[in-house]
Amino acid sequence: MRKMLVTDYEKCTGCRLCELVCSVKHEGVSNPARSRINVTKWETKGIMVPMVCSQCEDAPCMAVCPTNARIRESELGTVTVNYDRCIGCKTCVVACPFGAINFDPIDHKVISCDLCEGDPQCARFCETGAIRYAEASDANKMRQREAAEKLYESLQKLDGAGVS
Amino acid sequence: MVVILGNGVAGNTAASTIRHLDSRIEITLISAETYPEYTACALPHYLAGEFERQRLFLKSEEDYPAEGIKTIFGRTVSGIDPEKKQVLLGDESLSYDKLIMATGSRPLVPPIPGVDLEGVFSLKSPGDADRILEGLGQTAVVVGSGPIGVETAISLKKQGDQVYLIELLERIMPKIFDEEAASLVAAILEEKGIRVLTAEKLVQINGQERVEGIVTDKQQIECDQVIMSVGVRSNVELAREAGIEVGSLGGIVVSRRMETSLEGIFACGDCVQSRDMANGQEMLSPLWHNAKRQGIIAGYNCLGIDKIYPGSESITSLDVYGTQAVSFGSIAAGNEAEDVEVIEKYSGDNYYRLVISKGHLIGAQSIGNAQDMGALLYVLLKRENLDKIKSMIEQRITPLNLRHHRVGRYITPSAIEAAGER
Amino acid sequence: MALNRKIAYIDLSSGKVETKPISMEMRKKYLGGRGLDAYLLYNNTKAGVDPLGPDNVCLVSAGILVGTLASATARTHIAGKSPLTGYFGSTNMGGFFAPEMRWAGFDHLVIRGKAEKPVYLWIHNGEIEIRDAKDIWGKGVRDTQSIIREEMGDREIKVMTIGIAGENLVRYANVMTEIKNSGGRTGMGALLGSKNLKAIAVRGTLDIKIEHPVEALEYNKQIISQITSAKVSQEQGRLGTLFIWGATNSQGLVRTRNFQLNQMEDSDGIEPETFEDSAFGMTGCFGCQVHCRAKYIIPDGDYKGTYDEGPEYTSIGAFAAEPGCTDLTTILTGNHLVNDYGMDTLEIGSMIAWAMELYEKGILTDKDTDGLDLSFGNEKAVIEMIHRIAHREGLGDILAEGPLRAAEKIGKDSIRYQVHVKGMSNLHSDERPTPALALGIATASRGSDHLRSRPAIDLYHLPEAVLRQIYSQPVAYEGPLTSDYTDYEGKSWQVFWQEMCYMAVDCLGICKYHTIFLGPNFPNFEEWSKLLYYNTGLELTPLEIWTIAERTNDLERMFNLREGLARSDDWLVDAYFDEPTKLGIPLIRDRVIDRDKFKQMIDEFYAFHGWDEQGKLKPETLKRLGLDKEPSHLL
Repeated sequence: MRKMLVTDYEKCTGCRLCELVCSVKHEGVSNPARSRINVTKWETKGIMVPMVCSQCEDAPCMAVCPTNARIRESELGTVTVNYDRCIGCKTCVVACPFGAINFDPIDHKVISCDLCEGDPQCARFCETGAIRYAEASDANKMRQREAAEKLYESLQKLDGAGVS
Repeated sequence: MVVILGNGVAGNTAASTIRHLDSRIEITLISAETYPEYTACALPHYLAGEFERQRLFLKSEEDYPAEGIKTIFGRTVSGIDPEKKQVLLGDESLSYDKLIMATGSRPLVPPIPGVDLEGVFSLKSPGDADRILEGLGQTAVVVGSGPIGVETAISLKKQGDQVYLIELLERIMPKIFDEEAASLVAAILEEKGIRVLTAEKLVQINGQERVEGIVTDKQQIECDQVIMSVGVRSNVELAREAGIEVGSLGGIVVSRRMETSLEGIFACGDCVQSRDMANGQEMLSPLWHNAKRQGIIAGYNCLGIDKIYPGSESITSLDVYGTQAVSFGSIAAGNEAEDVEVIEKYSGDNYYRLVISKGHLIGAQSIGNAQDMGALLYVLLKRENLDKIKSMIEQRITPLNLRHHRVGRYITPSAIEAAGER
Repeated sequence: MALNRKIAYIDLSSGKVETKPISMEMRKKYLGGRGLDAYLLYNNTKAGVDPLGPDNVCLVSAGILVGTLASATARTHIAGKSPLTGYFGSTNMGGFFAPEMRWAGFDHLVIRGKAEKPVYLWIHNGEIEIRDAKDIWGKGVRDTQSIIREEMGDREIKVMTIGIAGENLVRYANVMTEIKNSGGRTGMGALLGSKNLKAIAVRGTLDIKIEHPVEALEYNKQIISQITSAKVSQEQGRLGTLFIWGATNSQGLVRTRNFQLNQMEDSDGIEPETFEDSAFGMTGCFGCQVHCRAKYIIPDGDYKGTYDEGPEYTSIGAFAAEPGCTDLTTILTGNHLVNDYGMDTLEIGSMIAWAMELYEKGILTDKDTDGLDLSFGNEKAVIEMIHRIAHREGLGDILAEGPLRAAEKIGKDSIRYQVHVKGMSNLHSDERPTPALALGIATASRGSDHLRSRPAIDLYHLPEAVLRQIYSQPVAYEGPLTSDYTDYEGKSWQVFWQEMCYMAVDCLGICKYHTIFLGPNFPNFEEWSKLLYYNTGLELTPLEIWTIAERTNDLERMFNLREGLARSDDWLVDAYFDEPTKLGIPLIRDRVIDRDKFKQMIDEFYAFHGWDEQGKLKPETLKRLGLDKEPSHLL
């Protein structure tokens, strides 16, 4: 069965080691601006959410690409970029509901998760279990959904507690 | 035997979809042009000298036979006989079981004196770009400031031309951006040396054989080239002659299965009019991604596999000298609905504008930040009630139950912060 | 490469900004972070400079491994002459500021002069701009950061800022970043405040090249496992530093009621586990898998529902043990307030407890307190005093001056009740039963301190063989070592070794929880040598790193000596020698420090350093460490 990155924001400590190892793995440099994964923080609420490409089955980025440059790589099922075709219009960046496609400010190209050829370093280094590389079972998909709903509920509770 | 008219994204996607679903069925693709499939979206980069010509093409000629698709290139279809199920190519005819019309659109050429002069171009095909590049001069006037006009102006400026961009209305890209966003883009263009002339009407193009200048309702400008980019018109003549219904917007009317008013004839791409996913209204949307999806839907349904087109999405994303200009859905200007409400916000160099009607997000524009816009697009397309998601928006986080994408995830746009200020 | 980050000289009086590269020669001598800051401080100030005047410098730096793969490379170092002690001022904080500063192209900032009106610095991809701070002056720590991010339109901007305490020149004001990452001790916040410098905002997207990325990744994984597999890290990751408080209080090693007691007996309601109810998960600094900060919501009181992080060991000390309070909400609220005002928890807790004892003794009266009942155990008074100190109101204005100045103002024999070294309050631990720990606070370069040389693992009663393994590399040591923490034998070597160890991590930019502080098997010189090579390509042996630590420690000493420090300053208050501990387990009860033995420890400690009996560097030491030409003005 295909594997996917399963994230759980409740376990995320916001350390951004995932960003660091991602940029080192792909570019040989430390530079989160060039990472395929990003941790978004709500600092005054203590909420940290790892955001990474979901390799969507019906991927909006593939649908909107005007040069067919976003392609499904068959072995791992990742959605990758054919840079010979990409014209850098960033329509895929706009279309991604997760903001999971980054724009590399050094190489001036769009980048997104390629699952590190089957050994995603973010999951490998994340000891809290906030990012796991697991089989894309229905249970895992459900888990993603439940985590999202829990996040919403907890935010509402925060709201009720008068947090501004 | 499926016959497809048109070698653009809609036609090619339909062909590939059919081949993917059925390895044996005969597919013939007919095109008046002789190029293999190309993407017009890359033309500005080619024009600017940033890309090799080769990069315009998505397929090579060999790719068609490799995929088992027969091609008839460089020949014009003279008619369709729906009774006999035949496509007419002059004296010859070609029978089909199913026909897919993906005849696309062509640039509008306004009836202005001098519009036939040498040096007046549109930008739609690689050939157009070649001709503009051959005649690169000192001064170019781009008429019409839609995305193509703006991109063309930028490309020519990058090639060292003196460039004028003329827009009839008060702001550039008037269908895509409201005043503030448009003026931000215009300011960037001006800063880079492009003369932006709004509320100015092209009256005449001067010259003997070649273009020598233009006349507007305000001034005369000497120039070597004029590029007309005032919009496109759907190619529906063949369809109309065959008795296929053409809608009030000038596009072929199709069902949600992309079938025309005549059974067995499908249509997709720039030549059709479709429903706007955001508001359910009929629209013409000559955009790549809609054509592609329509091609897929047409491909499925012409094989008898039921698949519904969810509607079209208006998305524009434009790189203006490194600043991303993004718009989707409706703009506020000219919107007749009474309760259109606008939220605007500057955050650093980023500008956001949300257009809201009846509690729903119906459009969004941003200058600067592209990454946060996907979340808003999703809110718009899902027609989520804004009040319902208000608390999520205030928290700057929107957990989504993305059945569409098969996984539940959350989104994090600072653009949504703007909505939090309501 | 990782070593191409620059140094910037910023003169706030003239508005002039100048940037320079940092030579490899300087790197090999001082690495970066605290080490190079010691050099810069010594070279950029003159003896007797007014700590709050324009001629003092404020140094901000990232360690040489910050932002790279070395398990937790988050540390920012800030230095200058201390407004609190008048000696070496220095603080080291976690968070995400230093990595961002490196991605923005800088390793060191040397900030001089004084801005005419409040300003902040905006540092972005190699560029530095001095901006008007009118919108953030007067704002708390978290609001300041939000406003800057909003103004610049970038959520990823990292900001170090002072709070209202720093603006009001509270002499132990902190520099803060994010919610609770604190640059505490020695009043670096007041230093920024004195320069009208509200904040430094950084954002960068420049590469830090990792020299050997494959090896660096694999080695990092190995180091992380080494750290996170340890029980002590797991406890840290569950309870934060509270676990240390729980463990030490149960023995009787916690300073209570301004040193009147050495154990908090009525602590049932504030044991580490009770905090878990208010907490909802842990957070941490850049790249760290230990994640020692709890995220919590204040459950009750005026700040009910407010989010904050911590609390720490010192929060319980400051807002419970020292003022004799037992209320969870008071601790959580106090922690929140000092975080947002930007004040040193340890110092403020000590000052309030000191005032409470003075009130108990009748030295302070209701007239002095404007009617506030400063009795031990009055929780409301603790919270009220935090506000008054931050705003310098009434008695708060006096307490804001720190131990020595406040005692001078209050007079009588108030100084008798102060627990400080070099004018800086001691940690809320009790070192009377532990000579090693006592020596550490007496001799630390920035005044009383537990983070500059404390051999905390001494409390574990480790077998001598294990101690020998740790403490006899990278330099040989054949002297005595003993596993009894009440002993004096060999402890001065342990303190000396730890001083080198902590200096090295501060130069590298690594957190102390990732070396031999709480975990005896944690990475140190050997591992750092490899980390430096894999990440930066710099080839330094463990011994060479040790020597750099010696050099930079001695440079801090030289700064202090130039400011008039004498052997008599490396000493403890009388209570350590004269008043025995009353509570705790038998091993700890009835203990004092022995004056003669302590003096001998100091002699040994000086000798290890190559200092003479007066604590001054011997000429041969200066020569050996290449410090004989300082100040050399090479950078």
